Amino acid sequence: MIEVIGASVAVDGVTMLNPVTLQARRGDVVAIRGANGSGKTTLLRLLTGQLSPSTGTVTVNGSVPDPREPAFRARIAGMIGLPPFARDLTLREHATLVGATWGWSVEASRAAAEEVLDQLGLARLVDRFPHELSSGQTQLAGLAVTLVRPSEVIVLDEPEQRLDQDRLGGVLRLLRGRQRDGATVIVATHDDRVVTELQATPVHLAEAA
Amino acid sequence: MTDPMRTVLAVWRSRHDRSLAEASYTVYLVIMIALVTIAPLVRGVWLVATDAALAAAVAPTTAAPIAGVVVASVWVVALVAGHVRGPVVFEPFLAHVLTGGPIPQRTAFARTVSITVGVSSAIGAAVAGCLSLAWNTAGALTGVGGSAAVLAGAACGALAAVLWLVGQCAGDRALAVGVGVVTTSLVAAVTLPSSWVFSPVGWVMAAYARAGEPGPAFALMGLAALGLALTPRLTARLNPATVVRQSRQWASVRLHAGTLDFSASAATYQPLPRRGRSRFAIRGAPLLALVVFVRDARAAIRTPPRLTTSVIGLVCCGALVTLAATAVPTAWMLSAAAGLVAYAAVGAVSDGIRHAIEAAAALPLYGLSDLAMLAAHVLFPILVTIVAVTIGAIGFSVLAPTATWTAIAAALALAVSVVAIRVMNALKPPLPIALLVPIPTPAGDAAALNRVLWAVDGLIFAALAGLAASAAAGTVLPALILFVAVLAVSSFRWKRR
Repeated sequence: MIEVIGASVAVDGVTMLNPVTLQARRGDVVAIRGANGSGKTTLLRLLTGQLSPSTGTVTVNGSVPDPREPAFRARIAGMIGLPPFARDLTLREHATLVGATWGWSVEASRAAAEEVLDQLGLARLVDRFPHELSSGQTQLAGLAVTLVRPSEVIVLDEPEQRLDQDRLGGVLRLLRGRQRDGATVIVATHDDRVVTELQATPVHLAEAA
Repeated sequence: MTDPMRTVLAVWRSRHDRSLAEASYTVYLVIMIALVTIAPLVRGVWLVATDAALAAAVAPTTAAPIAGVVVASVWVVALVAGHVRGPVVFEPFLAHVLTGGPIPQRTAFARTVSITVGVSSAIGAAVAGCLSLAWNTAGALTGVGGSAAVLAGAACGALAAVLWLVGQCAGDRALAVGVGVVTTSLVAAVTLPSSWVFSPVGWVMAAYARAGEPGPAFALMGLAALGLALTPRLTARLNPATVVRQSRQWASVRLHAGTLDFSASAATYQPLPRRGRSRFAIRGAPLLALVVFVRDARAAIRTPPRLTTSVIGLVCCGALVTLAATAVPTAWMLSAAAGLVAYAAVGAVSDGIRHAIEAAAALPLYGLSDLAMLAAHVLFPILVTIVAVTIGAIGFSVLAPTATWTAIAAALALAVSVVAIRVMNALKPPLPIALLVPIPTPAGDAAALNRVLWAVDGLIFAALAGLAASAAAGTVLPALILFVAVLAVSSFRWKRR
């Protein structure tokens, strides 16, 4: 259960996010909408514990988000900007290593990695290093290492960036699958297709000062 | 220079028009730096060079092989450096215009290559001229032919410039062949004095050993002339993509260096892996830390020259620490150098450490805690460092039986310290704004000193670690204090990551 009540962010007198309230239960999909500068990414940073609200409260399963707390780390997977890639690992190795650190065997982790990479249309590129990918492929690679790990809540900032319609379709199918499995999905987006195909509840943010 | 080239350069330079005041200030800076910094340095070098004992030690009759090794090393470095950053490099936009425009490359790049050859020849001539003058002044030799030495030095400099350009043109195989040719020439000249006549390095040694004789100098001049005659063809053959890429990289290096971000500058030239992808790096192991260890090891093997250089550097570090412990007069310099060499070498096996710290600052990705992930990534560099440094230390102690086990232990202490310093450096946040605040002193703004100290703190700690390790033969206190200080800084930075 995610609960944001009247949360706002102001830095040095400048409003980054106007007060916002939202709730999301298990299996819900929420689409954060709003113009550039309205605070979509700021709201996602509140949900992932990277920022603290200036006013109001943010809780995930009743606790204040803290990315250093093991239970919270296990609960939430997110991509706000690209994740850190190791320049000396291939895509398949990246995704396998992420899975292995969550307690899966290397074999199970590799199978899960290949499945996610395949769903995202990266099956032919699994043995590429990050510097051998185009910008759209890098975006998909970021989504792959984010989504390969287990999580109850998925937080994504404009996953449609740099993707063609086919590749975006793969991302949305993967997210729908996760939603059916019970994950809560919070996604900031400018794309109506994301809202429609994920049957998301839109939350519109007023433009910040 | 053709008219189109003159026009392009005129347009480009007009963007950087400087006022008379700016130009005057630049002249003032150059004069002051020359007077305050360069002149004392030159005087110090001159005093050392004219020292009778040193002049006798490097006199032509005794040190010709050393001269051959030095010049051959410069040529090899020029070749390899050209592959990374050649002489034909411009501002990125100018590089784009010149490589994509209608002006032939041999015309567009001629000025840059000419300047490079001129400067390189001048440096070679100056070094050779100063050496012969120093010998005469010190009385180590009499009647040394200054003009022949200057000619030989200029030829060696010109050849270095040509090889730099060759390195920029060459592919991997051609570069390996070039390095092989120079190395073979060196080995032949050093081991078979009768081969001097056929080997360019032999000509260098002959020019050095028979200072004053014009023959070897003329042979080198002939070779340099041949090389210079080839430069138009070389510039025409230069791959435009190489020029643009190297220009962009160089601009990036200058930008980062300008902000004192030397780590980012160095990362610009970090080789990217292209091989080894078929050997899966993530292997099953009873402990996750071992999975990470194997991942780091297999990833490091994917850039073999980088890993090899790193291991060689660490072996040399072990030898240096042991050498320093044999109580030679320059022990402190050797110890500090050992620390710096180890710090540079460990960088190539610490990619996992940097990745763990990057991941710790991002959204949770791995199932391990940030600290456990960092600890797992420390295993590979620490093992490589300990093994390589031990090999260097033991190897040297076999060659020089005066070395003791205490010295080997000191080398191991340095290995551990340097990995800790790498962790500390990887945790370094952006420059704190407080360090930008001016600190007025009678000698000017001292804030720049703070910023430089901040930028090179890793190097300073590494040199101190070398000194502390050397002192560890007498007392372990300095090494302990340094280690605790590194841990304290790392801990502070970790909490604020």
